Amino acid sequence: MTFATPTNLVPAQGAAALSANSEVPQVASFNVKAGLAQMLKGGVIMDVINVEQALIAEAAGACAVMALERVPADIRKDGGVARMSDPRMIREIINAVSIPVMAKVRIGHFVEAQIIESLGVDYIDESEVLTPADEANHINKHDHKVPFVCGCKNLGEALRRINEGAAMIRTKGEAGTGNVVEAVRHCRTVKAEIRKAQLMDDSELFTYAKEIQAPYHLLKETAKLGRLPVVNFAAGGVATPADAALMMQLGCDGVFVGSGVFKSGDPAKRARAIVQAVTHFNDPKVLAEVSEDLGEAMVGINISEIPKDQLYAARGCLVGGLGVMTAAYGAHGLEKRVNNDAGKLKAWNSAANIQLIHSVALLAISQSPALLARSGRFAAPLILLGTTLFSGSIYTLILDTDKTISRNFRLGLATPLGGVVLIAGWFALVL
Amino acid sequence: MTQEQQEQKQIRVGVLALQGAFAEHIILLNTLPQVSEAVAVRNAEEISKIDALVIPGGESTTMALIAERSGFWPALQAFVRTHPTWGTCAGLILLSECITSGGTLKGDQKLLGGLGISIKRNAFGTQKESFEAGLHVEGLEDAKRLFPGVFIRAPVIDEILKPEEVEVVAKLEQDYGKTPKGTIVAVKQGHLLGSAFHPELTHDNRMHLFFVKMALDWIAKHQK
Repeated sequence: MTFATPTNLVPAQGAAALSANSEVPQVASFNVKAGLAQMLKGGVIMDVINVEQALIAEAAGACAVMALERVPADIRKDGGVARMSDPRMIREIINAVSIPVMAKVRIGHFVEAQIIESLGVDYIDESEVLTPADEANHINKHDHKVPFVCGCKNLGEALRRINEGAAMIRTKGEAGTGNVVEAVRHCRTVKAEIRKAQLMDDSELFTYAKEIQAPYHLLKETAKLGRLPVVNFAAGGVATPADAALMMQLGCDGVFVGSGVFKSGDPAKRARAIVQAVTHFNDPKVLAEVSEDLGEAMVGINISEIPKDQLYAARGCLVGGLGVMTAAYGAHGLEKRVNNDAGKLKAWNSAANIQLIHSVALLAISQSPALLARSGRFAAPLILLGTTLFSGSIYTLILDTDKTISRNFRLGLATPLGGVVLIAGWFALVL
Repeated sequence: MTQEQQEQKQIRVGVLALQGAFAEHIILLNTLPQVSEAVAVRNAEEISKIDALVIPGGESTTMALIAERSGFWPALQAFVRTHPTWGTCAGLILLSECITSGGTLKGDQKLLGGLGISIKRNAFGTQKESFEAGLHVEGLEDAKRLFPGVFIRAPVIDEILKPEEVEVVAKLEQDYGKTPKGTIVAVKQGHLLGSAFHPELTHDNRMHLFFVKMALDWIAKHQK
């Protein structure tokens, strides 16, 4: 079962592709897999965590539901390993609604895929929202009868997934944030890369395929079609009808809404509004109408928590930069000021070392979403405070040669206190 | 196409574009010389400018809900009562009189009605049971050649409620899962055509031609 461009995806296929001897292919060809995605076009697929939400989604006009245990907003908040959902919950949702049901499996976890397939799910999402089970390989999706949807951030990633058998793509946004900026970025990236490919001749395409690590035949087909060669939905960060219409006008075929609906003030109303917005994406009057009185968008979402990675990354860099400066001063200018007092020079150096080490620690914590969501929340501020107290007090004590500061403040206490806070910070990481 | 056919009167065909595979229908309709233009239809204003309508595959519940909430339903229903309309898959469901099984919005699912048939939704099961099958379609051009029927979570016609008016156009030619050979998958009644499969997912425009010719005949007869 290999890739075949979905039928009538672009107008150019029309008359040119008409065939007088249209054959009837074998059961469950790629056409059937990609065909369901074509039926979902112009629709909204909603994340639901139970039967109740699935029924709300169906009544709101969702064209499919994604059954999962926790919406991405909660996965981000809770951290830990996110896995496929309880089969019982998925089965209950399948029995409760008439629209197609999708479910997520971990990247590379083909056994989860086998289990989900056996439940009679209509589409499987091999999703980066869950914790990856295989860091190198994705599931060989050709092996499965049930079609797969996969995420992408750029054209190369999309075509690799299609090559592995994905019959539908979603351009990834930042799931669980209610912020559409990443979805827009990746949608624009894919579009720009396709336009670039369209202008290339064959020899350039060979090189471009290598560059973006995409299979040549799929890149060529994409360039010919002028769009991704399967149905492409927007996903992640869509929270309002305007967001949904934005993604549609950018050329997406439909929209996934995750935490955006059921984490908002009035889920049913917002869901209905987003459904209307995807149909009437080109009609600002309708969009204005459905955007009225929707209540709060994405309430209770840890949007403030996510920039913490940037927060601590920036602080880590600041601490590191200052650390190099103090170390340099300790090596070059400090001797004169402390009259070559070896003890003071040594203390200064160890303070600078502690500072540098902890700048790296802050940076490392900031780069781990799992840590940030759990222990990192306590550890990062502790380490920052500890470094400031420990190194800062040593610097001050050494520079304070005329004792004006130490006479007024008991700075000597700050150093051991800083040390204790640092130790607490490190131990907090174990929690 | 022969010269004679090209000189025939042309019609403007709309495709209901609330949700689903409407673009695919537009592409195939535009390959026909009898179609002056195929356009997407989303509201009452747009439907007033067309001669015939195609309701595409997609989710019938979604389409009905969108039409209802945007105030488009009455105009849509009025059009379907009086103008040539073809429903594929979800469209067939919307054109039917009642759903016997597979609908879960208990009685809440609105139907346009018109075709005197009852429908079994998701008759074959889930996507795993979707398939492609060759069909003999009554009245199709080059009728001996099988038509590639694409069945995706497809409904079937459970029962014909008005046997004197409804004409069977295609049946399954073998068993598929629990669905037996001989199950009705396409019907015609006056100005209405319904098919459980997706001709918009093929490179074969004979079903589209069949509908457009049917529409032309009906318009010629009823405009006098």
